[in-house]
Amino acid sequence: MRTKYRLGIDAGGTFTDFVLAVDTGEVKLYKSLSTPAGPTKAIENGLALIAADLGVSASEIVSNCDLCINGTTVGLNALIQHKGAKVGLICTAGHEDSIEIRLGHKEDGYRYDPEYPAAVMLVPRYLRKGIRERVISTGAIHTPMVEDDVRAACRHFLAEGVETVAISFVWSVINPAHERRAAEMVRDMMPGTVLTVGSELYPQIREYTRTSTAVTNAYLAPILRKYVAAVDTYFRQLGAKNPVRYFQSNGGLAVGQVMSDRSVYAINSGPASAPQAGLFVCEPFGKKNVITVDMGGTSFDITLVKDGVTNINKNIDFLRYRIGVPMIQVETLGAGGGSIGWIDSMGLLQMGPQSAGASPGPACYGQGGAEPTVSDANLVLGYLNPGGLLGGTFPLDKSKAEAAIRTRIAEPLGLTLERAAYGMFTIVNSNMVNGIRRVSVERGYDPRDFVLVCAGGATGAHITALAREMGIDTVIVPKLASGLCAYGQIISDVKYNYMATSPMRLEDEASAVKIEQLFRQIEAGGIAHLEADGFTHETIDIKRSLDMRYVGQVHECTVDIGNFVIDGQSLDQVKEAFHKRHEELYTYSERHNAVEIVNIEATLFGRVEKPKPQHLDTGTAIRKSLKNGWSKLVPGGGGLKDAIKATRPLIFSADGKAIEAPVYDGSRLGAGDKFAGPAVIEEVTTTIVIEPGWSVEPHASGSYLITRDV
Amino acid sequence: MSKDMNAPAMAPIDPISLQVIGGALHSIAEQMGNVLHRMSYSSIIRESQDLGAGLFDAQFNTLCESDSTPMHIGSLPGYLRGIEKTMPLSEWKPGDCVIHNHPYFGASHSPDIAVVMPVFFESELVGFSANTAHHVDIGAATPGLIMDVPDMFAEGMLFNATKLYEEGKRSDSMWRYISNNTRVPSLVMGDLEAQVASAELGVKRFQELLATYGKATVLQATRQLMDYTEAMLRREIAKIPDGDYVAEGFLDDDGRTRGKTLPVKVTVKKRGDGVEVDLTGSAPQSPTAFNVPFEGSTKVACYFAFRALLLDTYTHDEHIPQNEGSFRPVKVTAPLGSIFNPIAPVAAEARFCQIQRVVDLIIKALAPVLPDKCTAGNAATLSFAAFSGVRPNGDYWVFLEVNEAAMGGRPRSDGPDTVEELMRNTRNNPLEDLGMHLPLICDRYELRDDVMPGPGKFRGGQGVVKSQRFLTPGFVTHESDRHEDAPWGVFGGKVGAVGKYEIYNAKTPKDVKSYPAKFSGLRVSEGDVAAYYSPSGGGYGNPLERPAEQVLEDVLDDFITPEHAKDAYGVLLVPAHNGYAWALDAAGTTALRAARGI
Repeated sequence: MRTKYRLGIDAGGTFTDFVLAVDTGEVKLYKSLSTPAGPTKAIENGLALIAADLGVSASEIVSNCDLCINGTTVGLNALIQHKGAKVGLICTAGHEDSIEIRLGHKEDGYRYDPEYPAAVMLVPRYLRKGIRERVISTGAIHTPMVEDDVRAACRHFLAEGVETVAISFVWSVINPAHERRAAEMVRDMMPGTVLTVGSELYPQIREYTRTSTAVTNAYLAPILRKYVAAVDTYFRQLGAKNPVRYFQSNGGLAVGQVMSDRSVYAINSGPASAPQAGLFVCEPFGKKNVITVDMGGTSFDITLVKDGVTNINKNIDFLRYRIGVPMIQVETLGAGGGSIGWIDSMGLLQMGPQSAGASPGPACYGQGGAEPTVSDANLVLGYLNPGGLLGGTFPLDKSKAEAAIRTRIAEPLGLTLERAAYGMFTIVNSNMVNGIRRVSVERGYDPRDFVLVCAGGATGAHITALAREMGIDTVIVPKLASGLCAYGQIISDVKYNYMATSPMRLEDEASAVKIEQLFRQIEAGGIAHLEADGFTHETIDIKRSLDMRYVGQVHECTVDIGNFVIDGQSLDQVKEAFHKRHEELYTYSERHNAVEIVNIEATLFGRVEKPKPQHLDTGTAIRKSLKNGWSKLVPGGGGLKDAIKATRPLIFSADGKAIEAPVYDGSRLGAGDKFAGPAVIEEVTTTIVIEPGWSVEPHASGSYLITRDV
Repeated sequence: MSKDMNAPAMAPIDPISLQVIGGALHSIAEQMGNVLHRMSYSSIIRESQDLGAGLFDAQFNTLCESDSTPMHIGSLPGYLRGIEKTMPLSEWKPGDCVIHNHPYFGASHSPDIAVVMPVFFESELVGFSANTAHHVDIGAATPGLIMDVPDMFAEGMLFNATKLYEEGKRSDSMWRYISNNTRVPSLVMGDLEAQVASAELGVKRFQELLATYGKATVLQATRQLMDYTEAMLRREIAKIPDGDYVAEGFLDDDGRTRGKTLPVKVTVKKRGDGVEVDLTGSAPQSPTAFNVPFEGSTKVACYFAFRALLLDTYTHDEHIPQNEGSFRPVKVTAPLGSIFNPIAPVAAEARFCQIQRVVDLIIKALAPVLPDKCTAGNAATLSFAAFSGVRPNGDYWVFLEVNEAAMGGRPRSDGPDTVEELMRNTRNNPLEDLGMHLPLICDRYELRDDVMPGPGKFRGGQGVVKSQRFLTPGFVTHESDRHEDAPWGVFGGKVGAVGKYEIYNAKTPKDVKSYPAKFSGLRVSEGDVAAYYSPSGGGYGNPLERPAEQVLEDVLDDFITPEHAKDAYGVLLVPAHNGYAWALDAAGTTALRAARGI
């Protein structure tokens, strides 16, 4: 029988990660440099790497994949660099400037700043055309649409070379008649133009969010369309059996067509698979409360899963653009291995947010970087192997790290080298801990109820220190940590969000019937979509949620409700779910108060069969390292002791005193090989530091279970 | 007072622990602010985030503050000092919770109610956890806002160190009293509960911090952090040449006597690394509510001005802990009986327009010596509208709306359009949300098109127009200013535009009535449209030096007309080939600009 694969390709800022799951239970991780100028180039390079490693052709791999999955940053990059398409906006007259007015305030962090920069407009004012029309909150048409205004707008757009049009009217969400008619007219007059209609893309209340979401979508759609066409074609030519699935910021997969039409779902897909991956690696341990932390070269991403449910954001500012559609909640800080330590003019030690990036990189990379970074501190503290990373193939220069820390931090502060390095470590950890608090404590979750899952190449050195600071007792570090997001993508399901809005009080049978009808309506559309993609009744799941609030409140909260029929009898169940959620989020509920519904959302999942999970043999067998960094089973090995490849002095306290601690070769550890810290585990793509007071047990599922000693 | 607080300072804390404790303090303040805005009911707190929260030591020094509206937090030490006049420190017990809003005992103004809880650690009072939030209605003479009222008793409920909880026991009679004396009890009571929860959280987290690092270490760290911020600000002040810097402007009127303008005079006396803001020469106190509480608002505005001007966080890489240290180098003087330091019982609720102008005039005064930091004249005002009415069932509805204005041109960029400038930083309300609950239709919410922003090398920001149409009869009160004295230009830049307020009926849109910036309790009928136009900022630098391409863009984007491009900027345009746009007449522009001396 031929080998079967599943391939995940996750483009990151510096590296594109490739994860190949083999039906033998082996999971392989490869990395190639990202190629932002021609994103498909990195895919070709990576496939060439895999092909060389496996000794087969790229097309043999692709044609034997049940699925090829791609997480892309083309949308994100276009938004960061403001290199999207030329957009025309058609909106209600009198409201042309909503994307300019925004929330009217100086955004977070800018309140003292006379010099704060205005946000770059995705549609310049001269391409925002107001149409005389007005629908009011009841859905009644207050002012009929003046169709000549739409025609004039189209003529203007044609003359200006507009490539993509967004339509968004006030209250279109209750009565989309005007938007639909305007869309017809645009299709008519501007055939071939990419069109985004606010009430279709994001049928939810709040005109600014809806317009901004539609504009962002329009801005990215032509770019995603082109990218998807190139990738789809490339894989088709290599003999892919199924269309490529793309990873979305909502944490699920989508086919290329959906990605082209709903491009705004693509913008932050990179870290969005972390919760899925975190849950997956925690499953063997029965843990469903998971915080994932992912430290890369320049940034630190945090996600949270409670009771198996991922925190989702709706209606947030992303890169200063308001985005309504659901996105996995990711808190990102400027803290990474490359974060630079510096002393401010008043003598305080600061870490980041500036980063040495990949080039010149930390001082220890020896590429000319002179600034002391987190990686340099970790090297001085003994956490990183002075012989180099990636199994020694990436050399590190400890003397350069020492020199940078000594001259820039230790001497100016009058500290020893070791104390300065530990200080850098402490402060960057403290920044990360404050970030973890923001996503946990501040949102009503006690971090002590959670497991900390380690993702990203640089996190392992900090993971027990972070857990200690947060009061978390259990840490899980997958051997695949540095490619965990790519792994998360290949175990994800297809996921589409469908929305509707119907503001009403939740009080009688009629309101219940109306909600049920609306759900059925949007779900029918979703089911048809998934069936066309080959899913069947058995493989389609539906999750319902309602945005609810107490009458008189301004903010609503999203409440997951079960899949029961909503009618007069089950209405109390719906209300109860809301009261409970409100208590969780805000500490109180008001059971005597009337409840109203604002928005309705159905999430449809097309369940994808999971690849065979990784498997680690028990510790009596010893795994022998291969040249390519992977390993195979060698029966009759010699036990835990053989896995210790060296000892190193490690520093775990502010006084700078070192403890001589063992260094384990991760590839030689088998399931059940328990040991206690202090220790270091070296995997090919990551290094894990175990502080004193913590113990490690490699688990058959391919993860290290690290627990605090009682 | 705790013994420790008077004990000689211990040895300095190492810079690493200092940084960790500083980060933890900031994180606590952020959490307090988040709890407050997430739990509150009214849109002014929840959506606009018109609130502040922080921790204070037993000497009322600000240790940390939430990143919310700057006005609120700088005012809390004033509240604490005001409370002490009635309730000495020795009277505080664990579990107490006090509310306070008295304008003559340190409050910022009466709608900003503070909730204060003591922080005890090892049986000693070590400080306070406190927050303020703007309440929709405290039972004043007119719904939501007041202007032309006889005295402070018309402001509504005034609390002076009033206990909501005594040693953890809830004072039900007090809660009932408040509930019975506001027009919108469901909002106000919910908001108060949120404030209590936020203060409780601050107490708990502060105690945890003290337990983790030890009281002596934490308190020593807070002293060092305050010294640190103070030293940073003093260092910047020291760079300004010593001298007296003066700027003057005027306010429209006091809300009663129309046509009589009120002078505002700012003298910045800079000596060494300290500075005094002297407001002598400004108008005497008003007979209306148009006065500024000295402790809670006048001083705060001056603190803000120097923090923003000299330690702008966008241009400074360094993190600046926000604490008492930024207040210390600034001394504020205003004669008793003046608009900035009124004498009770005159009302002092409507104070924001005045202090915005103080900040703007401080910038103007220092412009000659800080050309690299100052801006041209900002809108420096406030548009605070209270819309209200009575529903068919007899319940009141009250909605407070804050409208954005604009900033002046800046040393390196245009003034931002439609933004909450200077001391304010609240958020707007989603129109569809309002439409669901209030009998209002928003006809227009866009950039002004009736005036042009102040010309300059860097032009002023453009103001906003917001038109709200009443679907049922109601009331409007409006607190604003700057219908008379336009934002100035600087270094060759030209003036911006004044604001205006118009009311007309949707059926007779041509029959427009103009209103002054301040009026109270105006009755409006079904179909009446209340349209506010905010001022536009002044320009920075000679408009003839503005790149012609940017002038062209402003024409294409309808910020300015082709005629204005020619008159104000010396830029000539010709119709573009596609018939929908304009193109630059480069040769003509060069010639015209040369003729004008550039």
